[in-house]
Amino acid sequence: MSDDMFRQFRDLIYQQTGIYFLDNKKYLLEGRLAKRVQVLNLVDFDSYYQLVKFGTRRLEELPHLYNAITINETFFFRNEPQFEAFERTLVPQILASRRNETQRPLRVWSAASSSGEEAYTLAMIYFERLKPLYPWLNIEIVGTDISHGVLEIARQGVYREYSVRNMPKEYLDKYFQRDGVRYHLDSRVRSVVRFDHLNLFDRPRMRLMSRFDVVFCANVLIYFDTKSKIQVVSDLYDAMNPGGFLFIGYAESLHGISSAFKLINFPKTVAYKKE
Amino acid sequence: MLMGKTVLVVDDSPTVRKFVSVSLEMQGFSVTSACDGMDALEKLPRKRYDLVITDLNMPNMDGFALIRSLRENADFKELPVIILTSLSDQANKEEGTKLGITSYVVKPFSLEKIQYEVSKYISWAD
Amino acid sequence: MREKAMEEIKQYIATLLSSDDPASRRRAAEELSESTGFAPIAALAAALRDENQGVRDAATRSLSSIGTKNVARAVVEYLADDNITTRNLAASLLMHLKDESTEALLPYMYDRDHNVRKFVVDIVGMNGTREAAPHLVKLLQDPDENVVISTVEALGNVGSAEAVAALAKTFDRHPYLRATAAEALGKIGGTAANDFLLSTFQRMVKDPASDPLVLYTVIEALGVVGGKATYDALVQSLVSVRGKLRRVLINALVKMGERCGQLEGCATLRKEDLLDAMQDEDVEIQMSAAKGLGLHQDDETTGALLRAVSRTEALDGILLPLLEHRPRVMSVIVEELEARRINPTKEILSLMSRLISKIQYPDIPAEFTKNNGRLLHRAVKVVKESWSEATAETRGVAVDTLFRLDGDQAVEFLGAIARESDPWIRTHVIELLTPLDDPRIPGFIGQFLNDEDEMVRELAASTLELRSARAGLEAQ
Repeated sequence: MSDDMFRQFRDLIYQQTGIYFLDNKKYLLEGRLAKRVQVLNLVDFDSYYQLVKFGTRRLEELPHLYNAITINETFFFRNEPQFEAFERTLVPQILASRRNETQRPLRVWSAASSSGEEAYTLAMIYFERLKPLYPWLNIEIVGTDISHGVLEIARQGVYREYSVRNMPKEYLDKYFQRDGVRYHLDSRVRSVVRFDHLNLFDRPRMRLMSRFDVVFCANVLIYFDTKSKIQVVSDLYDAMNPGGFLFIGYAESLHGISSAFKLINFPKTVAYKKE
Repeated sequence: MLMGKTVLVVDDSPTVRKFVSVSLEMQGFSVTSACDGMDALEKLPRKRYDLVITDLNMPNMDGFALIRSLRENADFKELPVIILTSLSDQANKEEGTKLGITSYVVKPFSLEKIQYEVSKYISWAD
Repeated sequence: MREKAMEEIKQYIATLLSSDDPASRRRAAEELSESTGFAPIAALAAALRDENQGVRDAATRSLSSIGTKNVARAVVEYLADDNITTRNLAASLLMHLKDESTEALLPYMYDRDHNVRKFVVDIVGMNGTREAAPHLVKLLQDPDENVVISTVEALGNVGSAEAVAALAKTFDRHPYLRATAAEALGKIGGTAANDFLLSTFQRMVKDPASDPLVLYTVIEALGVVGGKATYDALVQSLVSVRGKLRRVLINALVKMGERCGQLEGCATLRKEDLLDAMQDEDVEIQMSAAKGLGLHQDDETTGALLRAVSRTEALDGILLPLLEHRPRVMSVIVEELEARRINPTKEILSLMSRLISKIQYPDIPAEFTKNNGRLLHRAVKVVKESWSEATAETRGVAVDTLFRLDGDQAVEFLGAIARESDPWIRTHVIELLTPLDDPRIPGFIGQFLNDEDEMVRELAASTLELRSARAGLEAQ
């Protein structure tokens, strides 16, 4: 792939999704797109570019493009300090602030949910830790992602050793059925989680997300440049309830991106509160 | 490398950050810098800090807001904080005392003053 | 059409200023982000005092986005507000507006309140506003010391040569000013500044009671502006300073040497001093020390340079190119790895790969042919030993290095790993091999087409397809 071609793809992807490929990631983009070129029986990257930019079937191909470029490396219980802060402090705080509204479900959003591990981890924590303390509490977990492929995997709820490697044994035994090398998640856990397609950069669609108590947005903002980050984080803020919390990735920062949140420190992690 | 204590200095002026860092490094402290309150709060969980020195006037999150946030958190409630500012009025000093700061140092500061104030609360190695 | 837009704007202003609901006020503030009229700007500025943080955030973003002189005019009075949050919001906005805020700011440099004067000077300095230079020079006479210090700092940031003489005069007026003045003079640069700094240094280095912070800043400033004459004067003083100051002096000397195109002159700097400077916490000092050490070609120095690899990206940027061209570097790497004085990080492994790739028959360096190529054996051994502790990323590099060192041994090694019972390890190995070019690889992956695990078979098949697709594309 020539440098010019790389730049053209980079701009196209950025316009559509806000995801920005740095120069040193050219090899990554090349490798991932090569497969699409081959599958579609095209002769070169140029033809593929023409197809996704101007072709009559571009809308069909774009989801495959997004699938190809998003990086899906996740597993259960990936970010423990965040889950601990969620279970021990955030949920009690949120529930205390609305004592009389027991009918109201706790709404949690796993933005960039990939194959669903984070969303389902939250669901298991709900059954294992929250429901015993608050028997009347219902939870609604929404997982969203730009890639249809991973959403399908998430909906199946079937995983391999790699995804469960960090899971405490009691969870694995209680909430999964083992079938050879595969682990099937209980339908009870799957029932409180819903997966939808969503491009974080799509403002009209983002505006439809609302009234979330906790948002997890880890390891996805790194793909955006500053201007896109500002837009996405502003939309995340608007999608939250007052008193709600946002988590981003361990090494990430909202410095220079948003001043709307109050920063709260937890052991080994930080959360951003909408007051 | 250094096996002493670590100080976090918070100020929006790169010059002040540099001067405080150098003054303390000459005594054997390890120093990290942050450019405002928010930057400081994001850096705090990543290392063990023994003392914080902060300015008051800073963008994104001023010194008082930073200290209030620290005091609300069990991990940082006891963290010694020195305010280093050009604001010399009584009202600010009282606010600082209310928030449980260790020292209120009015700028301009000299090398000795900074080293002295810090050494009142921590020495370079215990 | 225009009336409708005007109506909408009036609605948003009304909502912003009076709605009970913070979400509505925030939305209204966002919607006003393209309005350049004075009324919307005034409403947004007033919203800087909103009790809700989300509203203040939206107002700030919109004002930044509008970015005109009118915004500066509306916001500047908030610099004197009672509330510290409001003051700081106003200040960051004025800084963000850069040149557009100059006109509004200049009068406030003469405000009655010294805190306001200092605040404004800081903003003007951070913005590098040249028009402010004459005003700043006047403020060197301000009655408040903090205003004077901020002014000195600002003059350095603004870079005004006219101020050099005035700065030299303020230098001795106040002990607190000296370090800041030295830094400012370094930033401004030029012969007059250089001469003043040099004579100050020579005076201070003889006085044991000199303030070390001031000496530090003077040396650092000389590193920024000095030339050959300064270098010669300074290098003699190395023995007169110790500890941090000596390291800072080394940094200054190397920088001067580079700037004059005479880095080789730094070969006279003592190795012990350079090795000591490499231990400093400041990456800039480490980088200068590395450049200085690069002039010494012995193995002991090579070892020291290798031991500093993988600390920071910036330092690696200097070290790795230096190391690639040193004599006997592969031998030293292998010795250091065997003695566990360095770790097989991805940077070290990549370096080894590059060194091997550079070898071109028949010009094979002596270290590789000695003792029947024993060096290569030892290299393969240490790379294999690095496997179990390595991260996935490092393993990727290790596999590449192994193939370059000895492709057959690499295949054998990976084969042993791949015979593990866990299918995830087999998929891991296949993934590691995907980007590599060695001709043995397709055959190696091919054996997994008959693997007992479906996931492994699928991955092997799709990897082989991907490789042939890539090969086909590259051939064009």
